[in-house]
Amino acid sequence: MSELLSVSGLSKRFGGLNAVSDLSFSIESGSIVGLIGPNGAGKTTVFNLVCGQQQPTAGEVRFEGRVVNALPPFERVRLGMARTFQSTVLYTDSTVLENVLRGLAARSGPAVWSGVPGLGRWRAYRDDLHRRAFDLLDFVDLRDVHDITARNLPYGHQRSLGVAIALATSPKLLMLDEPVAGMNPAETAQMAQLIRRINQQGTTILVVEHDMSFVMQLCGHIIAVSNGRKLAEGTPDQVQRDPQVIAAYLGDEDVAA
Amino acid sequence: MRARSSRYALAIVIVAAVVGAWLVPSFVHGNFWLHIFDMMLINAVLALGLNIILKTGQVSLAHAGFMAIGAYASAQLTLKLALPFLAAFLLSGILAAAVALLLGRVILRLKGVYFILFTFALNEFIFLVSKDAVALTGGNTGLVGIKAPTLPFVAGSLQTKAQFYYLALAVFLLALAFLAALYRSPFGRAMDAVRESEQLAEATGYDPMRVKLIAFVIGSFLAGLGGSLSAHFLRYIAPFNFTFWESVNFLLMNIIGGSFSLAGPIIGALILTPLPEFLRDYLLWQQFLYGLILMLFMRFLPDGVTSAIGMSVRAVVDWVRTPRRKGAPVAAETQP
Ligand SMILES: Nc1ncnc2c1ncn2[C@@H]1O[C@H](COP(=O)(O)OP(=O)(O)O)[C@@H](O)[C@H]1O
Ligand SMILES: [Mg+2]
Repeated sequence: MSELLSVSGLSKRFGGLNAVSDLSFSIESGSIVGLIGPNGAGKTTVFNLVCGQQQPTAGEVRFEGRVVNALPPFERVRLGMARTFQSTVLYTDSTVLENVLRGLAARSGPAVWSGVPGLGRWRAYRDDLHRRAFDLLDFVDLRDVHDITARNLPYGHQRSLGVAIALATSPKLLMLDEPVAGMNPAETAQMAQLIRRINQQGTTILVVEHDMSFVMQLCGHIIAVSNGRKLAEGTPDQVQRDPQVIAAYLGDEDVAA
Repeated sequence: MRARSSRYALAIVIVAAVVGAWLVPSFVHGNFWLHIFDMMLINAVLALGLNIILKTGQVSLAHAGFMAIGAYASAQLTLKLALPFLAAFLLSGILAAAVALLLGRVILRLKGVYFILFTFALNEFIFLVSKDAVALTGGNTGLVGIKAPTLPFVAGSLQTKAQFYYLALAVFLLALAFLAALYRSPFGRAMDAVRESEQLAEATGYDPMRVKLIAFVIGSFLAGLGGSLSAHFLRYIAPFNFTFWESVNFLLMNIIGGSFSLAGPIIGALILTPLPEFLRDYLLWQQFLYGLILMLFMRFLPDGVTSAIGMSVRAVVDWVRTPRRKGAPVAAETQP
C-alpha cells in the first residue's frame, strides 16, 4: 500500500483560536480512515485545509507525494480529491440528474463547441454523459428520483446525492464530512453500505463522524483529535481504549455504545 | 416521441419568428414604429449581453457603461479615424470586452450586493467621464453627425430605419445563436453550476472565477456591439443615453422577461422598449412606474413572463395529451 494523502505540521489559527495545531497524519491508498473528535475539535477545518477551501497558517498537504498547498480547490479536485460538506450542499433548484451531470461535466469537459448540436461530437458526448450519470444514480440508488428537484428530496436522499456529486468527479480520495448526521438507523446502515461499496471500487475514504459505533464498524484506521491536536491514532480498538480519547469524550454516551 | 415532436414545434416557432421578424419592414411603414422595432432589436442584443452575466449569478448595473464604451468608440473610430463601420463596430465590442477583462479580474471577486454596488459606481464613473472628457466624448453636448452604417458589398449606407432594421436583426440573430449554442455547451452547465452554488461548483472541479470572467467578457462584448449599433442608428450620442437608469432598464428586461431563458431578455426588450414612447408625457412617473413593475414582478412572477408562458403551454399540452376516453383503462397505455 502506498501513501495517498499526507499532512504534516498542519495548523490553522482563527484570530486567537488554534482550530488546528501541528497536525500530522497520512492515509494509505485503499483504506477507510475515520477522523473523530468532539464538536469544535477542528475536523471540518482539516477538510477545508486539505481541500483548499482555506489556507493553513502552517504545514503541508501532500497528495500522491505532491505538495498541493498552492492549488485552488478546483485543481485539487482534478487531481482526484473530492469532498462532501457537513451541511448538505447541492444545486437545490436543479434535478437530481442535473446535479450529477454537473459533477461529471466539470472534470471531463471538452471544448465549448463540442456542445453545439451538429458540431463536434455533441450527441456522443451527451449520450456518454447521461449514461455515466445514470450508472452513478444506480450506484447510489437514486435513479427513481432522477427528475425530482434536489430541494424536494427527503433528507437521506439529499445526503446520498451529495456523495454522488463528489463521486462524479472520479476521486481517488473521497472525504465525507459527517455523512450520517441526523440520519435514522436504517438510513445510517444504508450510508455505511454505500461507503463500503465506494471503497471496494478502489476509492480511498476519509470520513468525519460523530456517531462512534458507525466509525468503529466502518473504519480500519482512526485518528482522534481534540482542540485541534491529535490525541490518538490506530485501530478502532486501540483508539477506543486510549485514556486521552476516553477523557475527551467523557460524558459522551456514544463512547459507551 | 414527445421530445421529438416538441423539438419540431420549437423549430417551427423559431423559423416562423425569424421569417416574421424579417418581414416587419414590409408591413410596418410609419417611422415611429420602425424606430421602435429598431430599438427593440438593439435593446435585445444588450439585454442578451446582460443575461449571460446574470447566468453566472452576477447582477451588473454597469451594462450601460459598457454600452457607452462601445458607442463612443464606434462613433469616434468612424468620425476621427474614418474607419469603415464594420471595423469600428467589431472594435467597439472588443474594446468593451477588453475593459471587462481587465476590471473583471478584480471586481468579480465581489459577491452579491457588493458587486451590485461596485458596478453601480462604475456606471456612474463612466457616465462622469462621458460628461467631462470633452475632447473624447463631446461632453454634455455629445457627439453629432455619426454616420449611418455602411457594409462591404452594399452600395451606399443604411440611411433609412427600414435598412437599418436588417442590420440590427442580423446582429441580434447572430448574438442569439451564439448564446444558444454556448448555453447548451458544457460551459453553459458550468455557468449554471456557478450561479446555483459557487461553493459546490468549486469543490467539484469548476473554476468559478474563470467562468464568471468569460461570461462577463462576452456580455460586455455584446454591450459594446449594442452601443455601436445605437450610436450609428441614432447618429447622436450623449451622456444621458448611458445613465445608471439605462442599466436598470436592461436588468428589468431580464427580470420581466425572465432571466433563466434566452427568450426572457428578448421578450423583456419587446415589452420595455416602447414603454418610454408612450410615457413621454409622464417622465416623472416613469421611474416610479418602473420601480413598481419591478416590485410586482419580484413578488408575483420572479422568473418572469417566459416562466408564466412556459407553465401555461405545459398545462395546455398536458391537458391535450391526457387521454379522456371514458372507461379506457390507463394500464392499456403501457402495453407494448
Ligand atoms: N471560519 C472560521 N472563523 C473562525 N473560527 C472558526 C472558523 N471555522 C471554524 N472555526 C472554529 O474552529 C474550531 C473548529 O471548528 P470545526 O473545524 O468546524 O470543528 P468540527 O468540525 O470538529 O466540529 C471551532 O472552535 C470553530 O468555532
Ligand atoms: Mg464539523
